[in-house]
Amino acid sequence: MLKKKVRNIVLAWIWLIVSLLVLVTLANLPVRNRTDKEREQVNFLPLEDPLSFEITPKHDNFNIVELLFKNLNLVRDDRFKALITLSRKEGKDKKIEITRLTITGLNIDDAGQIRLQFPPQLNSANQIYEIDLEPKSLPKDKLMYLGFVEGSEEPKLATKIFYRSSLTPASLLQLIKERISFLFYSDPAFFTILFLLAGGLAFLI
Amino acid sequence: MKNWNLKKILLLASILYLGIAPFTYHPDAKTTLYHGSFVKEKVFNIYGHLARTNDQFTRFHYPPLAYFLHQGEYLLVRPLAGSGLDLWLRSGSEEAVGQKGALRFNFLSKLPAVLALLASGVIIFKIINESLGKGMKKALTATAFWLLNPIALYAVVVMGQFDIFPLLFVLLALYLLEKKPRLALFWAGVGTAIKTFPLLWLPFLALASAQKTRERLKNFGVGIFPYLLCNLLFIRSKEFLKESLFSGLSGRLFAARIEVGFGEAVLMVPVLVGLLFILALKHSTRKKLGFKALLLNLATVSLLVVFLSHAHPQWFLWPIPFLTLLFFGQEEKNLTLVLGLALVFVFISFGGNILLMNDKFLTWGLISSLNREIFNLPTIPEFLRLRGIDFSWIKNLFLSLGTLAALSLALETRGKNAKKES
Repeated sequence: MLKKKVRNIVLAWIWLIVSLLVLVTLANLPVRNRTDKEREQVNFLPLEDPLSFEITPKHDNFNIVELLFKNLNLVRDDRFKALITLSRKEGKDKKIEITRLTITGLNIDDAGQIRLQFPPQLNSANQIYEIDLEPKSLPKDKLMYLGFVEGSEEPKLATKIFYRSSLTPASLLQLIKERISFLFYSDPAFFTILFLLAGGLAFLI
Repeated sequence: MKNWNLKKILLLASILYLGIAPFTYHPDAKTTLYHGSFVKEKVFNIYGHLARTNDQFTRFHYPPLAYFLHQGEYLLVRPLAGSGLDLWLRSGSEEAVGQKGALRFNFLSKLPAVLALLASGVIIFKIINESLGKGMKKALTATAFWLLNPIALYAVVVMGQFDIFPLLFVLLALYLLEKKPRLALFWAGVGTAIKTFPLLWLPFLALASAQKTRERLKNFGVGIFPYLLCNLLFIRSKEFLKESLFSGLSGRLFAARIEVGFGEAVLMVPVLVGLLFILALKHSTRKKLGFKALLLNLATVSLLVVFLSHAHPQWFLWPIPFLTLLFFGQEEKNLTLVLGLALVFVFISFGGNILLMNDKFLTWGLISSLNREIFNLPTIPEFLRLRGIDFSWIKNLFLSLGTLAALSLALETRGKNAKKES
């Protein structure tokens, strides 16, 4: 009888572990564009004049940068146009253009991301990239807004940078290991209670 | 099934849920608990309060009793949650995922709904075993089917939707219908006061509750009473009228229409539900509407509403308990075939609809608590659109499949209404 109860408890725990492993694998498997940055608190300021900002990716294979725009009250107006250019800075004055995108009032939500995606930049870690914005604005009452990091002394563009990862079985395994240990150590009490609860229920079967 | 019993099935289902509920996340469970958290501030009129304070979250669109239910859920969950629950509840849908204690809070936010699902399993068992007298084996199979069916797992265990509460009360009503018809209608009315959809089932329940028209009307009155009472408490609140009583959600019932020209249209759901009611009334003038005929009508009404309006994923749960009770609670081969096909069609249609809804929280986003970066993946519709693939016809095909299930059951109601039940 006791042997059967112990077997039930072990099976319940195996189920919890298998379920967590399968779900963590599923959650990590399809993500190829990884980011190392959480979204900051954002302030939206009107986009009236041309602007230039520098960004510095931390890793290689930089392939996406997201900017935040706000189309207040969703003014669906394509008279608003903005050209966004991303260039890699080589020395003081030389710039190599990587991609450019023209957006209109029809592309912007209240608030929403605009994504520039391009082939992975192999040696992007610690390189300087420049984002240039050239708006053609609507009348004052129909301005589009651009997201800036709240609380920074100088205006700092709110961006989110992504890197293309190459997923090998070894790197996936490492990723799953890191993720599960992060989840466990962020709330060990919860996992303990969860396993005790599952064990208790299995004992009652 | 020799050594199986109800306790064993409930325990196994609970263990299964423990492996799913904490690791899957949908913001709706958080939002409902957030609304319930206003119990701390002793807010009575949630509709007015959210509008006055210009709350960061969506307004409250459900009937007043749903708000009181969420308050109860919050009071149940708060002592178990520890510190940080309120901060988690106040955070945005995506931000909530990365917060300290998110897995615990997420699990607790679904706990009341999961317990209601288990309770509904007990009632399904009792209806098949006692009310329909089909024996232990069938009752256990039906309970296991109900507790483990993909729609219940998705809507309740994964999403934590509170549609299970009205369903629980309606199932209780079905269980009590034969012995205590007036009490049964009252509990169905409580379900209606939590979420309005069982309102469409009340007339059919009234037909099955008594033989005489006067008794039926009285029972219907008892059924509608909790709904009317709860709504009347707030009838003077402009915000309640706008956000709940006349919200866009109620308008979905009138979405399917046949244009008759000059900007006028015939509304499909009221016509078809009305037709079902007239047929049920016609065949029950000298006797109560039979229990199986009632179940068939309730399933058909639910399917019509789900497939002829732009349904939310959790709405697909509505017909399932009735289809389960019918499938396991009767032995007519022809009807079993139709019911089996209807269940298969509903499951396929549900899966297709979910995958083709442009909402990241219905697919990848559900496992975002295990990796936030999954938010960066496009939804399936976004992915298809970016590649210039028109998928609207596939979505329409899934909806049509569900409507086919509804109409085939509607045809079955004709025979079932007329048939004398043993």
